[in-house]
Parts: sequence; structure tokens; C-alpha cells
Amino acid sequence: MFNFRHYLLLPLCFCVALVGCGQEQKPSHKRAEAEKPYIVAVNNPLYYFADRLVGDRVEVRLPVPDEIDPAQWQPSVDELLQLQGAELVLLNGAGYSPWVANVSLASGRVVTTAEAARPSWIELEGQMTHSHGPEGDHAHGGYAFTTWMDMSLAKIQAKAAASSISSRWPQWSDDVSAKLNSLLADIDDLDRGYRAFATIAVGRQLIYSHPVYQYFERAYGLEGHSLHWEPDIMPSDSQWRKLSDGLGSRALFAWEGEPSIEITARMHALGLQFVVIDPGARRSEADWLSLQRANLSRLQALGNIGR
Amino acid sequence: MGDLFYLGSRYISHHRAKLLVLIFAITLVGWLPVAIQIIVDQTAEQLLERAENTPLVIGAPGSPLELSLGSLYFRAKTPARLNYSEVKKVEATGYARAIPLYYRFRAQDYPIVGTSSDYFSYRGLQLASGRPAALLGEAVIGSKVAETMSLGVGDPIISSPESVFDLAGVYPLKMPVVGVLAPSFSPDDEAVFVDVKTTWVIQGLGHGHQDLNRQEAVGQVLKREGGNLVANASVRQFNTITSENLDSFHFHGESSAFPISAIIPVAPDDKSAALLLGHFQEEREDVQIVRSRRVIAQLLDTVFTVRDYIVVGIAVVAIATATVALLVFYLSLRLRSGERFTLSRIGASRLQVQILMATEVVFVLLFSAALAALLIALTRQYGISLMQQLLLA
Repeated sequence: MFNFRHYLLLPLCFCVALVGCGQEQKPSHKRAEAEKPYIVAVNNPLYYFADRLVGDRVEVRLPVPDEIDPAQWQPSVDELLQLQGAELVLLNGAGYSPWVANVSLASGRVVTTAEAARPSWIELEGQMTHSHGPEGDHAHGGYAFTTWMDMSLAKIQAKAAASSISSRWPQWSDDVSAKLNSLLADIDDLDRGYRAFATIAVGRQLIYSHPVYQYFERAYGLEGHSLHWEPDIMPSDSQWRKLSDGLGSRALFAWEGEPSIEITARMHALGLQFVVIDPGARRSEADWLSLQRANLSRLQALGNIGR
Repeated sequence: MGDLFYLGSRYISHHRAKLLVLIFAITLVGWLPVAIQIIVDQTAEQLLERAENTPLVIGAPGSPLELSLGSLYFRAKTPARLNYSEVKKVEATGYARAIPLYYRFRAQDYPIVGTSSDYFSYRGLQLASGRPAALLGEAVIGSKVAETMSLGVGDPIISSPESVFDLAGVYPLKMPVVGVLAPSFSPDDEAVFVDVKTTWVIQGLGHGHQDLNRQEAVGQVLKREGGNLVANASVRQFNTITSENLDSFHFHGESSAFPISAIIPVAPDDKSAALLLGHFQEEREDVQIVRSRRVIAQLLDTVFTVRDYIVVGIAVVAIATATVALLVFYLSLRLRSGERFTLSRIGASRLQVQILMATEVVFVLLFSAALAALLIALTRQYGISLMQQLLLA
């Protein structure tokens, strides 16, 4: 096994051993922190999935301040150190947290929950990529990232979260598995609800306030046109004019959040029916499932009115 | 008795040159074999300790010894390349967490080790000052690096180019030191730790540059192909990563295909480690998993064999030295026959003459033994660090 080259390594062997004359510290197979273990999620759906799967056993944190959209969140150094100390960091995937590429996180602790659905990620159009020279590799453009609005992808994400939790704490795997089944059943209910609405909304012109519904549109056949309107910022007259010019008779406008009174009045004046479909990315008083059920209630009410 | 001591000391003082040579020779043959034994044993202990703390190492096929020495001591000059995707594959087995290591680059004499934050908790490394590396481009340095390069938190450390003749190669990366490790008496004291992604930036797989969509970058754009801009080589790239340009850093290609040197799998228990070992040995031919303790032990067997040859050689020299010493004593006694005659004529007893004659031998042997014992004690305490200075010098 040893050849002449290895004999040449003998002086090196001495050198490397001689680097330290004291007692080398023993490796720690456990986290050095005395802090209790915790899981970090980067948005509200993942926070809800993890919290429901682990119960009270492990703290689940969503470090994004309430006033910031988790998709736009850029963690500070202190927040990154908090992420480094987590047992698991649940990422969304599809480019949801682009800062991940430029920070130091142990890959074994990071779980990209939508990774298994990568072939289903929707690549955004009009995104510029670049290469250095004709033969160079391209830097990627972007993907639509509100994956959980397709409930089949939400289930994949919930399963990925459950799998990572079970791997980390195998002693809880039976309980996590039972909780996952219950969670998947609830997501299936949401899926059925959205599909039911889709059958009612067939043929309607759909306008979305923001381009965050791509997966929702694709999953339920509810394709529409996306604007960049904020529910609390009054659009300009030209924006209203442009909207009214393209409006059909059965148009439906979907908002991410409850629009302001002024916007609501203007919508009524246009005779434009609208509904709030909250993706539930931000933490709020209601949990993610309640937010989705509220979406369904509103859509159901809309369907009843439509009839 | 006092008279005998006086006469003996006068004799020793008068023949000090001859006796010093004898003492030197006898001390050497008494000290050398023990010193070699001590140094080899301490070396073996050091090597085995690190290997025992890192029972398994995964790397590209090749020499298990080079993989072990590289991943344990970061000493490999041209480490074999492993794809980063292997990290995920190790973790996918469910038997262990995987800590990547990429130790191809250097900052002056010190290896730059690209790894993950898990490495520090795994080795039990503590920070003496600063904080862990959190962002791309940040470095945490070992205590000896800080001491010898006079670096502290806030100072920059610059990666060294692999070749001074590689004019078209990657520019050195200037990395801010954000933390200094407390001494751990291990190779970690002499390493510069960064995130593995930072080593990919050093290699040129990732970089930051001006926004090619901006007006001032028009001169750098060769052509537009649909949604892709093709830039020429004059695009100004950043050689330091700051909070202002951090977002412009990006990687070309898939990180799964990016290189690392080795993986330390951290299994929670012996059973998982055995299952991981079996998995890699039976199912994977494109990577090797080595038990570093076994590899280092095999290396030490070779060291011990070499040591045994040296000790045998010294034993032969010792026999020759002892023979020469006997001859010297014998000739000395012959030369002192007149002295013995004079002593007996002035009234010294036979026993007193014999004691006086033996003084020379006893003095030489006792002095040599004491000196050898002192040297052995010093060797035990300082020998390994003296050897280090000699070998590294």
C-alpha cells in the first residue's frame, strides 16, 4: 500500500503533527450553543407547516419583521447568525430567498422545500441573463416563487419539511408522520375548494394585482393578467384608464390584500368585481391555513353572488 | 575521604578535555534512542488524535494517505477534486451530516479552507474575538495566522494567486477578517476559514461585476441573444466583497458541479458510521471513503519501522562508543601506573588507590547519565517544538 512517494511524506507527517504541541480540542458532535434547538422558516406557509409538524417540541421562528414581505427580506448579520444556529432552515426554493447564494449556511441544515418540484418551477419571462463570452455559462434568470399557491406544490413543501424534521429527530418520526397526514388532508381540502371555484370562474376575465399567482393560475386554470398594484397605494389615472379600456363584462380583480376605501370605491364605480386572494406569505394574527380558508370563503361567496 | 575527593577532583580538572569528549559521546548514545522514541511517540499521538477525532473522510479516488493528510491537516498541494453534489448525496443517505472542505487555495503560507459553519462546532473551535463568517467573502482566521500576520478583526486578508505567471487568471480576493479563533493546538490554528462559496469566488466560478444592463456597461457587451447578454473580458470585476456589491456576486453554472477537496461525514453514532462506510464501499466506485485512523496508523507503522532501524544503528554506535570508552579507561589506568606506585609509597592503602582510580570512570558515567536524563526531560517538554522549528525552517 505504501510506495516510495509515501516515504517522502514522512517529513511532512512530522511537520503536520508538530503543528500543535498542546492538547487538541475534541470535536463536538452536538451544537456548541447552550440554546434550545429551533427551526427557522423564511415565510409564513413554511412557518405554519413546521409549527404544526413539531408542535411544542421545538421552537419555530420566522425572523422576518411583520412589516416586511418575506420575499423581499434581506437578513442582517445578526439574523444570519441566528440562522446558522438553527437546527433546520426551511427555505422555499424557486429563488424565493436570493440572499441564500451569498451567505454562509451549512447545507445540511438548509432544506429547500420546493426542490423536489424543481421541474415545475415557472421561469419568469423577460428576465435578463448574461454570459462572459459566447461559450460561457449563463447566470440564471428568475423563477416565480409563490409555489405554495398551487396546493400540490404546497403538499410537496410540507412533505419536505416533515422529512427533514424526521431525519433530524428520528424519535419523533411517527408523530410527525401522523401530523403530516392531517396537514396534507387540510391542504387537499384547500385544493378542492380552489378547484371548485375554478369551475365557477370558467370564462371570466381575471386580473391580478401582482405577479404572484403564477402557480395558482397554472394549477387551477385561472390564467389572467398581472399588474403591479398595491392595495394601499392609489393607482394613477392613466393606470385606471388602461385598466378600464381592457375590461370585459365578467372581469374579476384579485387583490393580495384588502384594498383601501378609495380604491374600493373606484372599483365599484367601474363596476369591477374584486376579491382578496391572500397568498399568506406574511405572518399575521391568523395562521396560513386560516388565511387560505378565508380566501376560499370569499371566493365561495363570490360564486354564490355569481349564480 | 576528603583527601581522595581532592585528588580525584584535581585529576578531573587536569584531564577535563579528555573527559568532556567521553561524557559527550556517552551522553549522546544514552540520549538519542530515547529522544527518537519520545519524538516518534508524541508525533504518533498527535497524528492519531486528529485522526481519531475525524474517523471518516470522503474524497475523490486516489491515495487514501493524501486524502487523510489533506483533510485533516490541509497540507495537500493539489488536492483531487470532488463535486459539491456529493455533500447532498452523503446527507441523502440519512447516516451523517456532511461538512465540505476545499483547501486548494492559500493566503501566503496558510491554507484557505472553504467549509461550512458546522466545521467550527464539530471541532469545538471557539472565537477569541469577532464573530463567525456570515457573508460571502468573510474570513475567520486561526490564532497563529493572526499572530504571525499581525491580523485582527477588521483587517483584510488576501488570497494568493496560484501562479505568478497566470496573468489571465483569477485576481486575488480581499477578504475582511471577521473573527479570530482561540488557540486549539491543532492545524486549525494555521488556517484561514471561509465559506466554501468564497473559495469558489477565489477560483473564479463566482464573481461580482457591474450591472451589464446599465448604460456605462455598453462597451463591455458583445451582443444580445434574446434574453441573454454576452459580455467581453473587459467587464470590471470586484476583487473585494462589500455590503454594497454583495448582491452583484453570482455563480455561473450549477453549484452541484463545483469542486471541493473532501467531505467530513459526521455520523451521530457508530452504527450510522458503519452503515455509511458500507454504503460507500459497496455502491460507490467514483468516490472513496477512508477510515483516517487506519490510514494514519499504517503511516505510523512505517514511521515506527524507520525508527527501529535508526535505533538499531544507534545501538551499534553505542557498542562502538562503549568499546572506545573502555579502551580509553584502560589506557588511562595504564598511564596512571606511576601515580598508583607513588600513592602506595606515600602510604595510601590499596582500597584508597582503587577508589581514586575509579573516580574517573564513576564521574564520567554519572555525569553522562545525569546529562542524558536532563536532555531526555527537555526533549519530552520541548523536543517536538524544536523539531518543528528545525523542519519548518
